[in-house]
Amino acid sequence: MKKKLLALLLATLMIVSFFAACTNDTPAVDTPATEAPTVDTPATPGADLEPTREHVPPPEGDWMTPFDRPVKILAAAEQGLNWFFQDGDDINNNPWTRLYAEYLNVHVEFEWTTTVDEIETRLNLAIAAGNLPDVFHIPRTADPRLFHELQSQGMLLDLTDAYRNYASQRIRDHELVDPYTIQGFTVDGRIYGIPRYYYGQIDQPWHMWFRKDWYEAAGSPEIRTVADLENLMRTFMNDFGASYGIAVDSDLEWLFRTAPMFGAYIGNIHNNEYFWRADETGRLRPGIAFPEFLVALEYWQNWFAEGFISPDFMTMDPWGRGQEDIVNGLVGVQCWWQWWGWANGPSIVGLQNNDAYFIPFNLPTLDGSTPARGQIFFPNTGVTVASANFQNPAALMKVISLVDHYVFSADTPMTPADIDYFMGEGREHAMTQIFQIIDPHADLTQFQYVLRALETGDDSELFTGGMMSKFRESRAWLDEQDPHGLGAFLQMGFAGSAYARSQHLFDHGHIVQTALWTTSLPEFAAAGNTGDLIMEEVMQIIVGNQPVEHFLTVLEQWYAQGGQIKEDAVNLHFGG
Amino acid sequence: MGSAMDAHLEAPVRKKKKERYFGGGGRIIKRFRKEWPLHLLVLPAFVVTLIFSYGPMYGLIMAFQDFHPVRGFHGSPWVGLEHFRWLFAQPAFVRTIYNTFFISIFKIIFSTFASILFALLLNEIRVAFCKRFFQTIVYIPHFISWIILAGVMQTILASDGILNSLIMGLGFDRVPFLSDPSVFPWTMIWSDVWKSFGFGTVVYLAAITSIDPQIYESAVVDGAGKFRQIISITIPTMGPIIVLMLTLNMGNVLNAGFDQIFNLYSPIVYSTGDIIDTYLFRLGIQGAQFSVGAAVGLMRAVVSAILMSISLFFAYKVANYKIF
Repeated sequence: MKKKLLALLLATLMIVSFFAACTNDTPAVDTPATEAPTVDTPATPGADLEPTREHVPPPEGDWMTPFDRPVKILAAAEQGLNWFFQDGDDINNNPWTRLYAEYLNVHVEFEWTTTVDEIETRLNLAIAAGNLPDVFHIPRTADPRLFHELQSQGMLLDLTDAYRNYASQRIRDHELVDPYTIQGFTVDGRIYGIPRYYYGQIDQPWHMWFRKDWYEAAGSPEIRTVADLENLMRTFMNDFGASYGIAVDSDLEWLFRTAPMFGAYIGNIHNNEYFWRADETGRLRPGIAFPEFLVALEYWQNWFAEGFISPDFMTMDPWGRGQEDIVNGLVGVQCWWQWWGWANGPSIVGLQNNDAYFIPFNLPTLDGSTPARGQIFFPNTGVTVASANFQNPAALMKVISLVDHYVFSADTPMTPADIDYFMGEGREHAMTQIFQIIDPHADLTQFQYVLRALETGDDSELFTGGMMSKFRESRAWLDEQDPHGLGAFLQMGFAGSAYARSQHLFDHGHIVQTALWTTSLPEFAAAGNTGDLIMEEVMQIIVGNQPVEHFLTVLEQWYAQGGQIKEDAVNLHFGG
Repeated sequence: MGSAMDAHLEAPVRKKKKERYFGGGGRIIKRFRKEWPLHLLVLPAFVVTLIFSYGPMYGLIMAFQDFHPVRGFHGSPWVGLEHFRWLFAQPAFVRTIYNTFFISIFKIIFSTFASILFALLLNEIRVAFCKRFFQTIVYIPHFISWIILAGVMQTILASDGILNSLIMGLGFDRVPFLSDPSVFPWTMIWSDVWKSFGFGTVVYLAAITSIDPQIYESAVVDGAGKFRQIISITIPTMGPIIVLMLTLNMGNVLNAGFDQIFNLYSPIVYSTGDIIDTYLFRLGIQGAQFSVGAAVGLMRAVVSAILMSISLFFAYKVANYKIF
């Protein structure tokens, strides 16, 4: 009897434990909020009432007018693993969520957050469970069919009226700058998603970065031609102890981005992103189908044979050994984004010396008459949408407008003292991800104002938090050699900065834009993964296992294995 | 006539057998009443298995649909065997089948051989401390994750890594362990053998120590040396356990080592290193082609089930090992 009782007890315990583990109720933790700087916000009426997700009539007046009673938005978003909160703050209680509540009487609560890599999976699970949050973000990396499937199944809210009536004029003016992007989220004249836009096309061209101390010790030679570049790589290897000439990663993106030197425009094949442009007949074709790509392949094959490319490049993870070799002083040339200083600056300065950081130059060309053209891809970074059951789209538009007002507007109420509070340590990205509609002119304006302020020493004209932040970081590098200021300094803080180089390309028309002015097309899903074939065969050609001409056969296979579907789709939507 | 007679004669035997297992009508209830606390204890495990192992099988339906999460299982259009046809038209998929079998089978063969050999050597060590020391040394890699080992191996096997430095120091050419398609599968095989043979050694050593010492004593009396004892006594006595381990491993032949290969391969070695699991991961998870991914998964599961059944059959026939 005792045994039976014990068994019964244990079994009950196991069952209870099992079901307890399956529930997801987590106890609410009261966290003390950080003391906020004084922000001049309108009074929040009805603040004593509980926030509601039921419909609350939007107040009369402009977007700044707060709701009469507290409105609650249940959101979901991606969250970076390196996001920091001030003591006691968290994703649901931080400077931005407090601002929304104090300013607009809108209370944002995140139902869940996840990493950028997992966001699509979490969204799919939420869809399957029929439990979409009120507001969420579809990233540019998501399945291209996701937005259209959600819309066609009636799962998204028509935001047109809310957008027209409650978004600020600044937000709506983005349509004037870029009329095409929002059309991608408009169906039969109705808007179902607000694009996040982008910081500006100025951030797109890649540059050839040279290690500064080696470059200067080599006599700061002008690098106008590919031959000049090869000579510089040789010098770095022979005289400065570089193990190889140029950093190339296993994704091949760093190498493919050098293709404009040879007149080829490739894209990020590893992620199945191709660069599309018209051939002599007017048909849109991917960069790999142009003869210039064979020229690039020939050079890359020679570079590998000469030791300019590491024999281990195919196993160099772009965020692992690829960057480690740079920081450890094994290589002095890298083709990369404009934000090189944030990625490697503090590490290389800390490990090598204060002059060991890399400086940007425009890509050379074969004949050296002009710099290589900057590649412009479709830049939109995602779309903010609302579930069909969401009751207060006006609240979403107001929050979006408020964030824009604080981050990008010339009338921002932020003082220099507020910057740390709202934007320090990545809080700008952390708090505003799904509510931030980026000003497509943001980086260009920021660059022009910050550079002028650094040159004149007068920062009184800086008017956005971003400007003040970049100015301050650049000064920190210049005055105190603070390596954390290298990112902003190399991006925009001097006449040879990455943005200054890009500006030169734009000013002289050395720009080429992909014809595919969207992230992807629904037809692409049927094409499958066409990138694997290219990646594998291009690697075989680079290491010399196959001749360059082999790529012509590969191209035929690429068309047969899904490439034709892609090319036809691009021509259908953007051709002619 | 004969068969009817046989059936008549066999009927009571079958009934008796059935009664032995199920106890007949009323006996089931009687036994359940007696043993219900034990059934209750099994219940949570049963529920968990039902929910997490059998429940998701419903999702395999997407292998026959043009599935999209928004439309769900009921709203996605039915496409029949289209995804299977598409898959077999892909040269990249067909070669993964060959690669999977090649890498897996050689891993099994070499791992078994290394385990037996080391167990025999270990058995001859008479100093207990040394025996335990070497056993522990070879057993440790088994517990280290491939995520960590991959980083270590990339460093060791790099063109300027310790192994290539040694090879070049001896006057040979550098070996591209991870970037030459003809070398890569063998790198996967021997590195897996190195990681896993310690575990096998424990099993075989246990089998050796269970051999009756009197047999060895008789052999010594007959003039058998150490080598003869191993050949004529140890290995034949270990026979059933070797066959059992081999056959059980054969059932697992489609698991060629996703963790290991995924962390060490690159596009340049896809031709010989891409296995079904890595292909499935790129297609289904990274490429969000859920339906095609499910088709690959379903096919893999069916083949695995067949292989597992065959291996269990042989394990029963040769080693008298029975699960059901």
